[in-house]
Parts: sequence; C-alpha cells; structure tokens
Amino acid sequence: MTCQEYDAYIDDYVDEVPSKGIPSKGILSDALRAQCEAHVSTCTHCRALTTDLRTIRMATRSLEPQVPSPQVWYRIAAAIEAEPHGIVSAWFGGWQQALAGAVAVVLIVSSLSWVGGHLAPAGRNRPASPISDASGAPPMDAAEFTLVEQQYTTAIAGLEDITKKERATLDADTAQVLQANLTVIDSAIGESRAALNQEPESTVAQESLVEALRNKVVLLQDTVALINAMQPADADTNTGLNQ
Amino acid sequence: MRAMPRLCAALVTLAIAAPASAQDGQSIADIINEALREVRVEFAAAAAQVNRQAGQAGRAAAQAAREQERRRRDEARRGPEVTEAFSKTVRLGRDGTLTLENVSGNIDVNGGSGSDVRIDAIKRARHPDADEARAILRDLVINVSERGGDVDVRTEYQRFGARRRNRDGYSASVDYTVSVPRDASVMLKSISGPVKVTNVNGELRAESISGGVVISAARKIRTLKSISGDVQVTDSQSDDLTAGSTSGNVILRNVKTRIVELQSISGDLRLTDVDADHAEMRTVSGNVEYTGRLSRNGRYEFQSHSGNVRFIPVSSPNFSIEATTFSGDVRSDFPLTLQGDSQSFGRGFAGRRQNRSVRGTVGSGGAMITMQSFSGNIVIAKQ
Amino acid sequence: MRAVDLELVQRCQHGDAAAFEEVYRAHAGRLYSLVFRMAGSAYDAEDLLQEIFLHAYRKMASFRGDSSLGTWLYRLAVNHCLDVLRGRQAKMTRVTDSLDDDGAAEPASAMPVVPTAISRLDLERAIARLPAGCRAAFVLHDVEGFEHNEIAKLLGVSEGTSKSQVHKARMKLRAMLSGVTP
Repeated sequence: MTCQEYDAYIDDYVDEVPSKGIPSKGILSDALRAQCEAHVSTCTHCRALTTDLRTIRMATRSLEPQVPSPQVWYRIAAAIEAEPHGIVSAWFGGWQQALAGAVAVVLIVSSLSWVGGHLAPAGRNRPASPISDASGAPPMDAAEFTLVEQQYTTAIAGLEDITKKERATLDADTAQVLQANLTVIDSAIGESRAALNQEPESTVAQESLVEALRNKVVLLQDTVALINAMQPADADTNTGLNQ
Repeated sequence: MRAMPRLCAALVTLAIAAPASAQDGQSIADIINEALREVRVEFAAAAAQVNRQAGQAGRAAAQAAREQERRRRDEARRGPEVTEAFSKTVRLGRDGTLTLENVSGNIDVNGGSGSDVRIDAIKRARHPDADEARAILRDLVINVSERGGDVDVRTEYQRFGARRRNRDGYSASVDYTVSVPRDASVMLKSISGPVKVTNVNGELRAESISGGVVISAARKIRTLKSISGDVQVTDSQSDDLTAGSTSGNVILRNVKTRIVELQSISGDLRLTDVDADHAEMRTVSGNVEYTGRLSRNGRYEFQSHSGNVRFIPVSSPNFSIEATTFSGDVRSDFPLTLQGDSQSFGRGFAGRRQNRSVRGTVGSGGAMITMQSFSGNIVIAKQ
Repeated sequence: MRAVDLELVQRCQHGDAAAFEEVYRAHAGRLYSLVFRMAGSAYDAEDLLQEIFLHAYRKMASFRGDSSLGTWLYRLAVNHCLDVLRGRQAKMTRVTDSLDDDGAAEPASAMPVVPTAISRLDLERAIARLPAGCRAAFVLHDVEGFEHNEIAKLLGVSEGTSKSQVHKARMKLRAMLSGVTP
C-alpha cells in the first residue's frame, strides 16, 4: 500500500480504531485493515498523520453538548405570538374553524399523510437512525400496506360524509371543480390499486397508490376548510373572512 | 377498466404462444418483451384516456359553471350597475404587513416608494331595482384598520352577515387597486376574482379560490394558492416558495429561489428558466415540465400520476437521475441505463415488465434528479 | 417515536402553541449543539436557533411527512446555518481564515504535530474557523455522530463528498492545532 492509497482509507481507519482498547467499528474489511496497519507500521509520515487525526478524533468526542439558555424559548414564543397569521394550513383561517363534529375526523385524517407519506411505518426492523430513508425503501409487505390503505379509506369516508352533508354551502363553481378533481384522483387510485393487485411487489405502484390516497385526503381537507370558511360567521366575529 | 379483459386475453395468448415461437430462434425473453410492450401500451393508452377525460373534466366543469354564472349575471345585468369609489391612505409600519381580504372582485397590488398604503377601490352592485342596488352598495363595507404597524383591509357584506349569497338576482363586488411601500409584506385572500401583485419585496402570500394569481417582480414569495385559477410567477425571487392550484396551472418563469414546491391535482406545472437548489413538482393528472439550470448539489423531484413529466436541463448539465414509471415510456436524449425489474423476469411470462426504471449520471453528477410517473411518459431532453 | 412526532406536528398545524413548545423541548438541545458549532459563538448560536425554530413554525403547514420530524428540523437547521455562514463569509472584508485557499501547506512531518492534550477551547476555536461547507460535514460526522450516507442526505451531496469534506476539515484542524499556522 502506498501513501496515496493509504490516504484514501485513513479516515475510515482513524474512525475504526480510535485508540487501543476500543473495539473496531468494522468499516474496513479485514484485508484492508491489515494493509493499513502494515503501512502505518512502516511509514513514519503516515503514522504521524494518523496519530494526529486520532488525537483530534478523541478530543472531538470529548466536546461537551451545548445547551441553549432558557431565554431562547421565551423569545421564540414571543415571536410566534406576533406572527401575523400563524400557521395557515388550509384556507381562510385554517383548522381553528373546524366544525365541532369534524374535529376528530380531521385529526385522524391529518395523521394519515404522515403514515402514508413515509413508506416504512414504525414497527419495521430498521437500524435506529435519525435520518430515515423514505425513497429507496423496500416495498411494504402486504399486511402493513393494507393497514395504511385502510386508515386512509376510513378517513376519506369520514371526510366525504362531511362534505356531502355540507356541500350546499359552497358555490356551484367551486363545488364542481372540487368534485371533478376528486374524480381525477379516484381514477388514479383505481389504476394504482389494479396495478398493485397484479404486481404486489411494485414500489412504483405502492407509491402511486399512497400518493393518490394522500392527495384525496388533502383535497377533502381543503374542501372541509372551504365549507367552514363559507359558513355564516359567528355573531362576534362579524363578517371576517378570516376567523 | 375496459382494458382489463383485453390484458388478460393477451397474457393468456402469450402463455401459449411463447414456447412455440422460441423455436424460431427468438429468445423467450424477446417475445415476452415484445408482447408485454404491446400490452403495456394498451394499458397506458386506456389509462391515459380515462385520466385525460377526468382531467379535462375539471376544466370543463369550471368552464360550464362559469358560463352558467355569466348567464345569471346577464339576467342581473338587466339592472344597472351602481358604483361607488373609495379611497384611503394609511401609514404602514417599517416591517408592517398589509392584509387584504376580498370576496368578489379584482385585487391589484403594486409596490412603490413611500411608507403609506394607498387604497383605491370601486364598489359595484347590480340589482334590477336601482334603489335596491344602492342599498346593497351601502351594506358593502370596506373596513380598514391599523394595528401595531400592520394594515388590515376587509370587504364586509353587512347585510348577509358573512358571505355573499348569489341569489336574489344581484351581484356585489369590490375592485381594489392598492399601492404599498416596496418593502412591505403582503397577504391577500380572495374568493372569486384575480389577484395581481407587482414589485413587492416583503413576504408575499396570496390565495384566490376561483381567480388566478399573477405575480411579477416579487422578492420574497412564500405561498401562492388557488383552487381553479392559474398561478403565474415571473421575474421574481424567493427563499422558500410554495405554489399550488387544484385544477389550474402553476407556471413560474425566470424565478430564483432556494426551494420551490409546486402542487396541483389536474393542472400543469411548469418551471422555466428557474434557479433553484431544491425543486419539487407533484401533480395527479397534469403535466410537469422543468426547463432550467441545476445547482451543483441540488435536488429535483418531479412526479405525476398520469401526466407527462419532462425534464430539460440546460447548458452542459451535471446530474445523476433516477426515472421510474409503472406503465409509461421513458425517453432520454442523454445516455442512461435502463434497469429491468429482475424480479418479474424471474417469474417468467407471468411477470409484467413494470417498474421501468432508468438510471444514470450525466457529466460529473452532483445534482440529483428523481422523476416518477404511474402511466405518464417521462422525457429527459437536451435543450 | 414516530407516533409522538405525528401527534405533535398535527397539534402545531392546528395552532397549538403548547405543542410547538414540546417540539422545541424535544429537539432544541440536539439542534443547538450543531448550530453552536456552525455559528462559532454562543451569542450567534442562540439567534440562529431562534430563527430556525421560527422558520420551522412557519413551515409546519407544508411539512409533507416524508421524513421524520427530527430529520426535517435538522435539514432546516443545516441549511439555515450554511446560508447564514456563506452569506457572512462572502461579506467578510478581512480574510481571517487563510486556510480557505488551499495554498496552506499541510505540515509534512515524521512526528505528530498535534499536542496530545488539546484544550477544548482551542478545539472549539479551530472548528469555528473551518470553512462553512466542511465545517457542517465535520460537525455532523465527528461531533454529532451521523453516518456519511445520512450527512449526504442532509447536505444534499454525495456520500463521497461528505467523506472528502470531513477529511478536509480534519486536515485543516490538524494544521490549525499544530501551532505551525497562527
């Protein structure tokens, strides 16, 4: 192994055996590790460099976690208070105006975009990692996927219930546009389901179905929010278009 | 779907035909490929048709509704339109926000010099009975309030408590022309009526249900939204821009931003001449098109269910790409590798050649592109 | 873990300020460690943390849920820090970090040049002088313990780039801590 070659592996080598006594992490193959060890034992320059990087590595490991002062949260809270429109998650005032009976459904429904949006729901055997890899994940097995799909369809049914009852509140134009787009999404759902029936292992088909279901939920949520916005306002809020 | 029985028939035929033809020297794989391609093309065509019909449905429905509305208005037009002008100038604080909420009518906001918000509005009402029309005008109130450096403008229909009800054969609307200090932040909401903003440097949010949203020369666009109207942005900047429409198109041209997210259900999404580090474009039946530069380590994701997804990088691009479709076609002007779905091959003829995936690196890589469709076609083209 | 995340963000999206405080409590500490080293000073770091959470608050509505809340916040934090740092570095009229240009020679030596006992203060100072890009990779890898594939996703680069950035940072630190360059 030349110095140039060693240079390509020095970081892994340093990470792997930070110092004697601490077991190696196993980044390098046994063969490579042996070669690195051999090179280091014969090359003073690389040995010196390795020692330095190890020293730095150990020192970095001993850096203390930093803690923000309590003031930071108070300042954030004050700034949020002053934010002009808070979180506008839907039309005209957001979910604060959710109809009484609809609140529960809305909550269930909002949670679904999370479950569905991430194709590897909790419970799978994955290495604990702060960064999870949604794209490139292997397809969910049939049981898990059915569960996800069921949750969506339940929520969709609940939302449709509300929209059907209250549809009259919306003006004709908007109601028609929303309905037509629901049809677009429904055919996407139908195609994806059919594809998945024939090709259960197809990641694309799975993702298409989940994406279509998610779109449906979002559209129904928007519809509910619009309906809320169109309701006669409470006496005290006068005629505000927003709360 | 009507394609299904045909599909099944085709596959049964395959099962019988394949072994026999193999004797001709063609490999079974070739035969399967050929036959499956036909099947796939049929499937895709049928799927595309359904979606095209449904997608058009959105626009057709909106158009039909608009026609109906026009006719209703024409009847009301029997009555004269009465108008009343409104004008007010209010000081806006240095980091102040102008919020304007309207129900029906145009909103036109322009950034300029000075530190005042100048509101010029025209209230309009129609009713076969002129007195009635004037009464409606009186009940149509433009409410302007200030609070802590922010300015709030609202159209209120005192008569009906909250919303205009388009009955009783009348119509009421307010057209706003507003000039704001160039650095102001602006938030606009309209139910029906287009929203237009020019030359605003502060944070910009605009929503209209059925009107379109047209923005130019803005510096800090945050969110733009419409249900049936188009959203258009030109010659603008942002840091983190989200724009969406349910059935309208979302089109951005000459926009520089760090992050841009476009969404629609049946509308088309188009980014042209855009500089972004991260771009996401997602639609169900609309088409997606990205023409522009790529950031060295940028991330670009384009997705449609049944619409076509086109990616046209310009000027000696460097990127790595993964394009996946279930039943669409993938076409590329750049040399990329077609990945088969080895699982389905292993299963013999019963496997469909789905999950078509194309992968590759152009130039020195760097930017990452992900393109996905279900039945739409994917095109990667040289400019 | 994920279920708790879901519930929190939902409540935030519903305008629940107490929920957002929970998000802060759950994630601020870890984010601050990163932000602190990216910012180089406690004063700046607190400002940055504030901006990051405010930004997160505004963006909660558009969170798609295709990553965990922690990941999303981290990404936001990293991007924000990089933006600020690069902006700041561009404005600096005095080149305080002469190691930016690769003209700085690596101390070639047959003996280790870094003292075996490095004071934490020296190390923190040295990290604060690293150029923004490799500083981010270094802090995420060597301090926060992320893997290269995770860092690649956070920074939007390839794994190879993450590795070389960490290497570059380590070499620069070595030069700075060796007492050879002032």
